[in-house]
Amino acid sequence: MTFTDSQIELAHGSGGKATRRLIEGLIAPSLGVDTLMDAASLSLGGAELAFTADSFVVHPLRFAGGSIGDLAINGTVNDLAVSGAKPIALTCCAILEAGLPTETLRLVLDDVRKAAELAGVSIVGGDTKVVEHGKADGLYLSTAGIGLRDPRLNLDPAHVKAGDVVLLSGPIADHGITILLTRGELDMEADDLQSDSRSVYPYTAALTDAAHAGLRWMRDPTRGGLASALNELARDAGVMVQLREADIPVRPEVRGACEVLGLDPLHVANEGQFVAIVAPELAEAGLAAIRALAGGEEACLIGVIKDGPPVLTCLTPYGSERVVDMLVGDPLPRIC
Amino acid sequence: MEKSCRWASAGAGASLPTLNNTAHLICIRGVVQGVGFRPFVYRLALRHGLRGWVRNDPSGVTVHLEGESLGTFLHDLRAELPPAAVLEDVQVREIPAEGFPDFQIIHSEAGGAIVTRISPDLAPCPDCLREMRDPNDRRYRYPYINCTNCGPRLSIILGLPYDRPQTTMKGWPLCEDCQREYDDPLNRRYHAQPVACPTCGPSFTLSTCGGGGACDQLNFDSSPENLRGFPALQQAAQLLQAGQILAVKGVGGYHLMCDALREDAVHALRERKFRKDKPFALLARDLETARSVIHLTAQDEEILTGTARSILLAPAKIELPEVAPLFGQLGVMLPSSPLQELLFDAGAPPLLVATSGNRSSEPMVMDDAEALESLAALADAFLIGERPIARRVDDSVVMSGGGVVRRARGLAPAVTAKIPSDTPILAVGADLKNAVTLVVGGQAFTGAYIGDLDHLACREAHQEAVQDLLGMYGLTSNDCVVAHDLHPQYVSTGLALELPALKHVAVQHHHAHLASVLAEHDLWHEPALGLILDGTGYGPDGTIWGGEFLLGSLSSGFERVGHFYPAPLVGGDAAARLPAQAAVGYLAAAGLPVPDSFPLQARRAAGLARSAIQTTSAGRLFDAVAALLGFSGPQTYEGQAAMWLESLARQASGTEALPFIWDGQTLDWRPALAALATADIQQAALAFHVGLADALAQAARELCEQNKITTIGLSGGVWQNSLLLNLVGQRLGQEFRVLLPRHVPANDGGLSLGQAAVAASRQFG
Ligand SMILES: [Fe+3]
Ligand SMILES: [Mg+2]
Ligand SMILES: [Zn+2]
Ligand SMILES: [Zn+2]
Repeated sequence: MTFTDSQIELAHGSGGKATRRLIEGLIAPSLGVDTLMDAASLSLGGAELAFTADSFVVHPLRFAGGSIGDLAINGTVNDLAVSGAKPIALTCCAILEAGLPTETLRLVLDDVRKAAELAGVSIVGGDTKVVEHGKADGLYLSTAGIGLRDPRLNLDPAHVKAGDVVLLSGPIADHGITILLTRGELDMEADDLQSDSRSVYPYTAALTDAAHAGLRWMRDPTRGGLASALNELARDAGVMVQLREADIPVRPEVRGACEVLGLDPLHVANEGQFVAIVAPELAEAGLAAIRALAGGEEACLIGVIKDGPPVLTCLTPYGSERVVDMLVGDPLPRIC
Repeated sequence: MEKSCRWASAGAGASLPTLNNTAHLICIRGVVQGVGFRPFVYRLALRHGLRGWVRNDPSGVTVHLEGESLGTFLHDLRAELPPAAVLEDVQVREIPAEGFPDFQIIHSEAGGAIVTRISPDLAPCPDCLREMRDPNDRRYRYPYINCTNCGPRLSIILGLPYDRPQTTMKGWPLCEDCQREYDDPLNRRYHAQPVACPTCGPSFTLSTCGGGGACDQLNFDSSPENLRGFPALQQAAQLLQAGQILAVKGVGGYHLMCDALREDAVHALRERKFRKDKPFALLARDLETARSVIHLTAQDEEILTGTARSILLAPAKIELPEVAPLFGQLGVMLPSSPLQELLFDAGAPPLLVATSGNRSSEPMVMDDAEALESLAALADAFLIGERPIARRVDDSVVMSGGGVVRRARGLAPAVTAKIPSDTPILAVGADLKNAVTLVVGGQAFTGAYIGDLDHLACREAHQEAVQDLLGMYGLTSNDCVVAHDLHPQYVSTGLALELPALKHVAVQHHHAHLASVLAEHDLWHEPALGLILDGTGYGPDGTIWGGEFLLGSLSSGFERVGHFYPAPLVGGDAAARLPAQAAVGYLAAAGLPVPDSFPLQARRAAGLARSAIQTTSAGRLFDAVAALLGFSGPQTYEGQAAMWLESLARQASGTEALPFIWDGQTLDWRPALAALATADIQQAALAFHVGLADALAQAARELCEQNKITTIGLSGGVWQNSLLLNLVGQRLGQEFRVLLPRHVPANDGGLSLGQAAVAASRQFG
């Protein structure tokens, strides 16, 4: 795959196919990197480490259930968690736009600290730059983190095979819909709705303890939603991923908003959920371990891995099977 | 294309001087293979005392004739044509006589370029039906009876040339009697590839598992649960009488059937199929039964009784609320296979619901094992035929008056247009109502309706159809220019780009709609005005087009010279499902308030209009007006709101028109929306149609006069609204040549033909 687009477009950052083309066609080959995982594995002096980095450009900066501050912590923590590591320490860099109210920065930094405390990680360093007014959208954050890999795990798409089960930690699309509603165009009562931003480490740890022998692969479905994460899995593992629409938890208000916005909840971002592929014989045990934790009650089994074309499909309540593709940028109307 | 066949056409009854030492070579093109054409020519030649030979060749059929009576031969050739044959071109030239002693049928040689028109499947002919009902005939009550004039073709062909070993009949060797008929040039079954009889051929079995129960496996053996032959049909007829739902294997796939007059049965079918209110098609025992449920013109009766046995959509005479809720039309077809005829003979209720056997939105099931599995929850029993289906062929749907809505059984994959391209072109169609077109040797073959490419099974069927069409003509995509829609997110675009090709060509959606109608009418250089009234299509400016005035010709390309006033498409595709939400966008563009009576969800979406993508869609305008006149819910099937609006309008009368403005470039519907009164919704619906027709006619007249154009092409799904079509036709038909697609649907089912035509013009000018 070579990247021939003449300039970078917003779609290249959507987390869908265009992002994948940018990374695989330009970034990875230019940097001489061949595998792109959520987190890199490092062996340092006998310690098995995971190392990852992430940046955050969300707008608005604050929204129901969180802010750019806790996203910056949870995003990196979750990348470590789904690569089978216990998050240990993070750095946090900020790019500030001249004119940013100090109060906004203070609130965001509070969220950074609180999220780090909740996730049990320490912030061990960082950097701050200020750019001219108009050159950044208030404030950008960038974090990097290291974690300790669980020696019992060997996560790899290549281990995923037909018969395995798809496990989801809880309701999807809360984060993305919250952000859209915060922008105020959809006049929706969203009192109960908030971003799901949180560390998923407690749940990945519980799942690991209960089902490590059958745990094949995990991912936090952020940009591009569950559809992107599972399409990539289908492609990387050469399997078909088949979900059951009726079993995928989506809050009614989120479903309603998706209907109006013409969005598929499977394409909407999450910041506090993860999806795992588990051997069928350990799926129930893994599910029970997650459900036993506060905040894990809504975890469920939502699909299976099948032999077939490397696509993600969804069985509708009407018994038909639709293909769920990755999104390329914002969805354009297709119904003639 | 065979070079030796390019001479002046001979008119019907042409009498040419015949010298003793001259012969005539007649090259015939059209649908002339697999339709009993050679034995027909043979019998004709014998009758006229002519000598020579007839053979199939890559471009059709060639006849070498020696003797005196060429003129009457040519006359009778046209007059007595086999029912399924279509003559497109008959060329005659004189050659030296070779002194043949008799007349012979020369058999096809395999190999060489195949530019053969495969015949679609044909309904049973009157001769076969008579034999089937004659107790003394050896094919009495035999459900696989056929002859060269009728029976399956496309649905049984495994490969070319079309010969029995390359059909799904290869597993049934002919008995002595059948072989004799097959070998006798004077017999109606001479080289009828699917010929069979009760002695040597396949049969039908009734399996009474199902009804949600388990159907373990296919079992054709006689056993109490598995009746065979006519007793199976009698039992099936009884089950239908008792209100049960049957899965019945047809020519190209399974149907689900039940008694149309039993509301309980139809209701159960709706529940099991998760089909809320989309109308079901009806299978009527005979023309008389059909006449009792729909209003039929003479032309419509011809459609109904034609060899394709399409579903005809016509005004209803009776109300069948479970079959077609909220709807003044019924879709009716007549039996398309001997089995269906026999099912009625065996006592089935004379009016059955017959809907494609599939899970919601998926392609019709054609495989027996798959039918047992996927239809087990839908059907109480299965009538399973042993003859395998090589290709899925769904029912065709045709509107009263002849407009094709869905092109499938009996119609596909016949030629839909001539396209001057020596390079093969593969056009992949649109995402919805997908069908593919392949251009080979200057002819466009448009395949059967496939469906919505969001569904896995449709996507697989699309890929099969592409490979199948290519394979039929010995091509791969590498040999072709591959044409696709301009829409970057269409699934079909992605599939096209994955195919290795000489070149990929992106074609704008509405250019393709216009090109389809011009190509069909063989207008290559003639400039025309296109009135494209459509749902949505991706525009070259990145907005969503749908109500477009296009000008140009196939050879020179099209230019957008006008469009509907744009409105925000609130929620994108959500607006297509939720007419009230479409209305919210159109109201915002018109500066009108959202009515309090609107569903809460739609009112809340009003703010989205500020940032939504803009559209000139005509289809969404109809949806918006339907919502304003009271269609409050979501559409449970495509086109529902617009059909509701049309049926409202048909209940009113008068010439009152809502105000639209044509300013030379924009057709502005905002005054009409502002003037829409909801006190008398039927009158309002009609006034909307009349006003729009007035404005369209005015715009078309001005654009045609300015550009000295006399031809107007209509295309796009909105033209399936026959009220609007008639109103516009009344206004323009006298002054202009107004053309509609005939062989392909005006909806996206015709898009691949247009894509192919545009790709051809871009390549070769
Ligand atoms: Fe269209
Ligand atoms: Mg990340
Ligand atoms: Zn016949
Ligand atoms: Zn026989």
